[in-house]
Amino acid sequence: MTSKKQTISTWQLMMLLLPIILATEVLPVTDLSAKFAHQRAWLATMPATLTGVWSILVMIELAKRHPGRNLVQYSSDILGPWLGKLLGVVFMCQALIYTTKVSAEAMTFISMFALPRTPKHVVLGLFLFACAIATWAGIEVLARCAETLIPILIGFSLFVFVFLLPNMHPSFIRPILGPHWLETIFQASIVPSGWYGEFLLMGFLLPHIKDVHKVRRSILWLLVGLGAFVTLVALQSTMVAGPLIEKFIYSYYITARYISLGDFFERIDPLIISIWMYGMIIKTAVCLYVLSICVVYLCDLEDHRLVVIPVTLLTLLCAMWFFPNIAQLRNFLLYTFPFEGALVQNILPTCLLLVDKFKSAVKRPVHA
Amino acid sequence: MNLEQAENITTWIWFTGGAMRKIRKPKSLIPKAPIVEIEHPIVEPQSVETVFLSTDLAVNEAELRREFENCSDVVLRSITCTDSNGRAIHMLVVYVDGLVDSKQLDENVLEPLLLRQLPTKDLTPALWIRDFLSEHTLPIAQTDVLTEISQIVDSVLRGAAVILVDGDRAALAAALPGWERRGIEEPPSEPVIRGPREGFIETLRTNTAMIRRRIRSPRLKMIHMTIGDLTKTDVCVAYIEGIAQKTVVEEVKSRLQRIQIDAVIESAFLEEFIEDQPRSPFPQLQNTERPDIVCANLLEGKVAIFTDGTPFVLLAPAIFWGALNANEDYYQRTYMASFLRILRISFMMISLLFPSLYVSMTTFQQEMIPTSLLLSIAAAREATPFPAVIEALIMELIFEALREAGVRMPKQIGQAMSIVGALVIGQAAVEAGIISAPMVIVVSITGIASFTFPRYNVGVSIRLLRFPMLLLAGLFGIYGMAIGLFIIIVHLVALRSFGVPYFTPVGPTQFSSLKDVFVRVPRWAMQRRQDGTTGENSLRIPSGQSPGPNRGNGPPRKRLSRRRQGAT
Repeated sequence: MTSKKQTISTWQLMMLLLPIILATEVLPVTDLSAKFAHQRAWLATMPATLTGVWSILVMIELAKRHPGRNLVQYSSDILGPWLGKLLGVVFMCQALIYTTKVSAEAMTFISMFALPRTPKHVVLGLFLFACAIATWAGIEVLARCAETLIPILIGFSLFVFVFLLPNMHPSFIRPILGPHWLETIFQASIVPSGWYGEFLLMGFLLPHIKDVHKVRRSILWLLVGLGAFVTLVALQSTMVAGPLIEKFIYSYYITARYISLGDFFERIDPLIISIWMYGMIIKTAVCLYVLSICVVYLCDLEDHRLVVIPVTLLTLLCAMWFFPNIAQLRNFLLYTFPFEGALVQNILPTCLLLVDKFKSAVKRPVHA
Repeated sequence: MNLEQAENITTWIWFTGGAMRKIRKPKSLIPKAPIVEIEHPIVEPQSVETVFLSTDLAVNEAELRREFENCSDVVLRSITCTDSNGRAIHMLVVYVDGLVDSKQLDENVLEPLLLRQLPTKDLTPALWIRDFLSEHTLPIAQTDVLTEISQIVDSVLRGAAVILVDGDRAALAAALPGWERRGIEEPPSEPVIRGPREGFIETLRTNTAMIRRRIRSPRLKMIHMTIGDLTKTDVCVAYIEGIAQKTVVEEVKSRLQRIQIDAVIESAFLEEFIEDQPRSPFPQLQNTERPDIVCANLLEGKVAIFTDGTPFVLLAPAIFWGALNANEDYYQRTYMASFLRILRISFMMISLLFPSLYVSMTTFQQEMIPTSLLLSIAAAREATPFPAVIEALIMELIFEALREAGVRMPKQIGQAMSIVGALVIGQAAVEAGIISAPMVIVVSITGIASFTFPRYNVGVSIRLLRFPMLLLAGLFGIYGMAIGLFIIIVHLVALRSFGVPYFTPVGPTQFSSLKDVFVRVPRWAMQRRQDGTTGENSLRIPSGQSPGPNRGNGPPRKRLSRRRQGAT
């Protein structure tokens, strides 16, 4: 890697992790959960954070045991060069899935709502161009971007919430309980749980933190905040749109169209595109960064900048091949990603941690 | 003072203004610039070996005449005076007409030599006459003894009158600078309603004196250097020890010493050599004509670079948000100042985004416009032949051209220009149906917004970035604008000015420094200097000084004591 180690603060780490979870989750979370839980979508968001807690604890524990090393590096340390590299390739593919998924989401979102007549590939190309510039600049610049833009994003969402208050009908979330309520909630929480597992990316961000031991508390608070925020979003969408919610695509965006203040202030939804875009770009840029870091460490290269352009082009191709339309994307998000994600994001790092603990437990008597 | 003594003195003079001081060459302060072999030197060195003065005045005169060949403004005046013994002493006075104060030259140099009776001494006249002149006759603060021809040339060109005596190996230089200089007046580019009305002038010493008068502390350091092979421009680096970061001061000095250039005419010449990212559209140094702004920035730990010959002083490191802070913010009540800051920030966004927002809303996102407004815009745009983006580009270009013409034109014509421009654009183009009326409104609001910047050079960068944003909006609507804005922000947060991130305290968020960005808290609440630019001494104001009925000589109340305890 570069000779000078780039460092980020805990606050910057939080601001980087926040869009990683929020950017993709907020827009479709309500309608995807509502497919199973109907009016109880908002109850499904909290159990979903369990995978987040799991992932955070595992990743921070791994980072504490291997300070200054990233996921690819310490999987080689723990499992040996061959198996470690293999696991590194798996994580690399996961990072490629992230970049592909998010850029495909951005592409479908933009071409569906903002630029229906512009070729999708142009939209995607421009999006990935902006992401690649940020990735090229490095993690420090990305962190500063995040802490500049993310507060605006959060402020704007609260603003949307306040202005939607007159359109909310609390009766839409009734009945809160009912037959099979527990099953449906857990069924519905499987979909958002995949997104919370994306805390896996911390395995590549934590090496940039000065003191890993102080991070856990802040990140767990961040997770609580995220869970509350997503619950608020789900409640907001459900109370505005009612039973229609499961028919919508990108329900957050569509319910924001209900905003109308006087005759002047209405239809602010294109603003959501422009502001939510920042979250998506930052998330994609972080994922691109992680992907290029994976490539760099797997191939023993010097600088992540070497691979930014190839990796971006690969993402472009994958996004166009794998998700040519929104139906395939939603199928992937609903039926594939939660299970694939749980395997790679939660189970594999946990196994890694267990192997590491086991190894050190076996080794310790030798040292003593 | 004999020859050896004279040669041992390594003092040098540099006079550029009213306050003249004799300064020993600060060797320890100015480390030698790295020696770089230049294949083609910018200026041919005139004489490689040093030429010392001869005892023969005629030889010296010939040498000086050769040096100053074809310099019609250099005066070499031969005089002969007699001492009381009746011996004739030949002398030569060299000066540049216009650079020295001729009245002082007449009264203080020539009159005592020519009209007064000189005393008699046993020594040869050549040796005592210099001592006599400097110690008894000349009421001049700064004199110096020179032994080389090149030294003489240098001091003559800096505004000294040099007196050579026949039979002497050394010459006497008397500092008599007296060139014309502008009076101190309010800078027209940075006017204020409340605040000092002084502005810098073109003379370096006057400018540094204005700072010294405001900060009367020996911790205010001013380091001198000379830049430019031909112009030999005096440059002064000022900072406050303990408040400025040492690394930044060293960086400024070393970057200035690295410059190899023939001439420095304005401080912008230096700016382009010492900035961090030369390809950025954003200026990475602040410039100002106002001493109060320089003082305030020195107190925030910044470094000021004074350049002789220009009233514009450079301040480094500069941060982006400084461009939105006017000096008057600190002289006004805090609510007003905070309101103005928020207004400026919103108008900065308007000046960058408003034309592109209009274009993308009328072209792509019509649903954002309220129905009645949409109808009136549609009615106005019905007759216009161009798409909105072309219309906006034309209008923006015309506006920029008008503005430029208004600046460059003589004042009387400039006014006529703006009237014609306003009539042509505002009235005729709309009535002829070539340009729609809403576009005229948008462009004029943008024009007004771009003038709300207290710092002109940052406003220019924002104005330039408006055009790529306009193209992106024309191609991709509000999505293109978001992408464009993101790229600008990536650039801004990646930028550094002398190692300090340009977008602090927002970019790397420093919560304690945000008190002076979007709002301006009262003076007694700004207890610490801004993070990032300040060195070790960051405390400005001890806490607990908020005025109120609990302070002062009245009966002490419980709250006061509690607060005091909390503060200590």
